[in-house]
Amino acid sequence: MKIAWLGLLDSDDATASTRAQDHLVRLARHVVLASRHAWSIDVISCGRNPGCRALGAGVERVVLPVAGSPRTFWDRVSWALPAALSAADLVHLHDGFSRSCEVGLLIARQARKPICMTEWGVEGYWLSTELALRELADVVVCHDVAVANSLVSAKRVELATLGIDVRRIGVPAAWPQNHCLDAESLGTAMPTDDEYAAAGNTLYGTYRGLVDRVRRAAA
Amino acid sequence: MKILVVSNLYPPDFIGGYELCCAQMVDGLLDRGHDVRVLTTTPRTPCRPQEHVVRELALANCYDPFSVLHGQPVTRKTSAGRAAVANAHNVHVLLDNLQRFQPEVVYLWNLLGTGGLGLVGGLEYLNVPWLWHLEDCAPRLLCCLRDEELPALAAALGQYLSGSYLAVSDRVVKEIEAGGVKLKGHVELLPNWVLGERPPVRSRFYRPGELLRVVSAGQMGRHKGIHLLIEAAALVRARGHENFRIDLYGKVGDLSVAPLPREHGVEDLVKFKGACPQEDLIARYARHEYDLFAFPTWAREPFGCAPVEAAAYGTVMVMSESCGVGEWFVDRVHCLKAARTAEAFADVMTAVLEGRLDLKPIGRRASAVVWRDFRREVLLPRVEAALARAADRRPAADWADTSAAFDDVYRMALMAEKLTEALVQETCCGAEAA
Repeated sequence: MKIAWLGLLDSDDATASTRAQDHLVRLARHVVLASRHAWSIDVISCGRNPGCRALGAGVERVVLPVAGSPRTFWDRVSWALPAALSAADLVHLHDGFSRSCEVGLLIARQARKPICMTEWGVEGYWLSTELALRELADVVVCHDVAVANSLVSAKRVELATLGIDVRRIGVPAAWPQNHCLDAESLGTAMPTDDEYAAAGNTLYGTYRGLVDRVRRAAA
Repeated sequence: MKILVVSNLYPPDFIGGYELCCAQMVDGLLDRGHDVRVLTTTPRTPCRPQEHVVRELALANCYDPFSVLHGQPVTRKTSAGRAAVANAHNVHVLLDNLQRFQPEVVYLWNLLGTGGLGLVGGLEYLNVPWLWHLEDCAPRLLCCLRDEELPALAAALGQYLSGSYLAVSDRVVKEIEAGGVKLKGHVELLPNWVLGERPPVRSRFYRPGELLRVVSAGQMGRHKGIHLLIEAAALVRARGHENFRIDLYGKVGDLSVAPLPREHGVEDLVKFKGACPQEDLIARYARHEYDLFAFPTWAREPFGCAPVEAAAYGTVMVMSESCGVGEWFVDRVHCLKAARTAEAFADVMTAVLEGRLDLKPIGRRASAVVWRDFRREVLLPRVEAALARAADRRPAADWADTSAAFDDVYRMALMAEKLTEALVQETCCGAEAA
């Protein structure tokens, strides 16, 4: 079983850090552990140095070549994205403010792949909010109970509690500014490994339910 | 059957044979009792409402020379994106018509100009059965932004499409696949056709010493080889023959060909006769006003209806040795094939003028074959069978339970339209790369 993850990683280039990657890899490792290594996760982004490298057992970082001349880090997308998603059994989009997530949503929905989308409660991104793109997902994942409770959505909402503020990872300033919102005042604390394990277990259960549903429908 | 036909243009609007054939096939299906609705773009030519034609789609400015020539690069490319990739308005109109008409099958024609990828993508997502009539490499053109091919998009499209196809020639299929769109579904070759009833056998053919009357019809441009025909006329004259005329029917879309007869000193032999209604042209063939139909078209010509219409009445086809219609006829048996050069066409005309080539057996055989194998009524049962096969490949849609899926499709179309616009703007406006 292969899961494709998109999102958040553009912020690492903007902040010259690995905060997004660290967060995703810690979470991914626990999903893979929960699957007893039966599943693998490709953590996909678009960047100037395309290639693949393992980030742990069952977790691979895939960087796709950037298409065109994007204005900001979050505008980057790749013509290789359809091929990269074609083998995935499920796609999880971890943000609602990057073009790779928007295009990934389009590709995955059109191919009728099960889709999870993380909702951070961040507003102000026209395409995501105005078009209510999360309604194209099968499951909306929230890491914060307050965000989950505030959601108005026809879609299933799953809470995978994780004490992390997305602004710590990096939220883009208003387009076309090519930097993140200031997050200095938020401190540096990150969730514990136990918290990641619990969230990973929840995600694994969510994924398994979605994939089983697709298999039953296909049968 | 309930058939929803989708075409970018529909008469009175047309560019070439694609749209005319679409209308002829629709008429044939209506005559045979099918319930047909045509979904096409708002007319560019004023016309009266027709009960079975819904003209609600928007046509992007990709066929409009004024807009294409006057637009800035970014405008042209934005139009191209809307023409090929996504037009959310058109997806909404399609969804609306699907819900209202509830067809058993959707019969696609040329979709360039309508954001065709979005339309086909919507049908695929909704699992609505479709058959695509390919008279040009339309799927490949939908993966281009004007001259820029998008191979990754073509590859993804090929993987994704699961309908069936009728193609007018093998070269159309090869051209589509060469562009990266692999046609996975059932592909059947089906030629274009003629209308009407078989006339009495033509008895009068060209004899040496008479005036050789040559005709060509279609778009008057270099891609159709009109310049070669004019140069051929000059070569034939240079060889000492004056007893021939070439009449050219059609809009002169390429202004560079208009002065060529004068430049080559054959303005008395070659005449641009302007656009001529199809019925009038066929009436001329039926009156045997011409001996040869010259078709020095380009190699990527998907089919070419005009020479077949002429051949039906005994006008002998002289065509480029490599073109779509040539796949259906045998050289020296049903037609004359020549290399796509002025010399080769001049050689054929000279041979006819000098009595070394007898047109009568070729003209009679071609006419017999056209009326036997290329009549619309002969081909209609094959189209019906293809539509029925396409409909049977998927379960009948449950139209009462589709609203959520329709919402998904429209959201995806809106997103695709915006993303395409953004990509085009960035490419054209040279944004600083992140």
